[in-house]
Amino acid sequence: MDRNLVEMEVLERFIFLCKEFAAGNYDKVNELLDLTKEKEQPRLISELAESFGMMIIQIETREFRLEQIIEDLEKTKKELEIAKKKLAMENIELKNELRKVRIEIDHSQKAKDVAEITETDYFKYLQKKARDLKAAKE
Amino acid sequence: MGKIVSIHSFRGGTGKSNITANLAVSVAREGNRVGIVDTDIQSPGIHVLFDVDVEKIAHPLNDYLWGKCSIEETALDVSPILLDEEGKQAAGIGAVYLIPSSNKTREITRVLREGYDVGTLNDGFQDLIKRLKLDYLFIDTHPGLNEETLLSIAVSDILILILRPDKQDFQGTAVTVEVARKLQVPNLFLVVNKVLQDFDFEDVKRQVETTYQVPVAALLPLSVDMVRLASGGIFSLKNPGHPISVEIGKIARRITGS
Repeated sequence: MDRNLVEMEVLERFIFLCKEFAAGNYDKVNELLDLTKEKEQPRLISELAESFGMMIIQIETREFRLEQIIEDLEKTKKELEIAKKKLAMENIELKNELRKVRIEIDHSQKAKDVAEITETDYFKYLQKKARDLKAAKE
Repeated sequence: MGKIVSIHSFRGGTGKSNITANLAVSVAREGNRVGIVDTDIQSPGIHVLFDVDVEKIAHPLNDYLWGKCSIEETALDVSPILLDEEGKQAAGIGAVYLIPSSNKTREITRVLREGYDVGTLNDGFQDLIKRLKLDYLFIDTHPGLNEETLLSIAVSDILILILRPDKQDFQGTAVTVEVARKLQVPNLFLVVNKVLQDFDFEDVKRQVETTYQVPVAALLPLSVDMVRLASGGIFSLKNPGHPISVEIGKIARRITGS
């Protein structure tokens, strides 16, 4: 067969395989590896196939690693969602348990303490002073 | 005419000085000229928050009360040493003057032994406002209701009472509110400090307002951060986004809006 024709066919096969790989179908990688056999293929094509083969292996490895990471992240996300729900439940429970304050005033003691302060001459002087100051400001 | 804002609590340990310092700075950051007088002569402390070494200053408040100097000679301009969270001089400050009390035992015992004319203190407040052109004069009072505290309350335009949610503070605050009413303080607010996180804050606010018939300007949670950084500068300047700083800002706006 014409050498050029053979090369054309090989290249067309090559292009077909590249399209398959681009679409994420790596199961035809062995066909690409066949193109690396130097004795059967022109040198440039076998070298090119080898480079592509290496590229596919690396891409596949990277994709596999990324899939693993995504899987881990999804697992963590699920765990976080469970923890979030649990926390929200606990918060509702806590909110219901918030302590209430109790204010108790001893009014007779208060009246006694207030009188002790306000029935002095000094306090009366202060009351007048406060009134004068306010009047001065107005 | 500048306004007098007294910050008071019936008992010690309520965080009064810390709140006073933070409030004063917060009000000053709105471009106001403010002064802070430490009238807690028996146990002064607010100077520590401003990193002022009282032993090295020329005239503490005590010197003015003994007639040794004028009141403005006791005022320290602390605005240049107020740093923000990046360590730069805080922006927007009108002026902040601190009038510290002496922490020398001899001076403190003299006050306790001899007393002083509280009228002089009032003249000092009025002169400070006039001579330093102050918009607000903050008074950090001594806990309890002694003569100088009563005077501070009497001459106040705004009185902020700090209390913790406990039995003794509830009782003491009831007495103070009644006394303040008899002195016709125009604006009275309560600040509940050191509220434990497991308390129902809304319920605390409602109950306190109902009991005293006085608005609650803020409820400040008991904060480990605040305790850790206490006495280490002005908390709200260094931690502007912290919930406590946000609440301090709200109280400051109550003061400037009054």
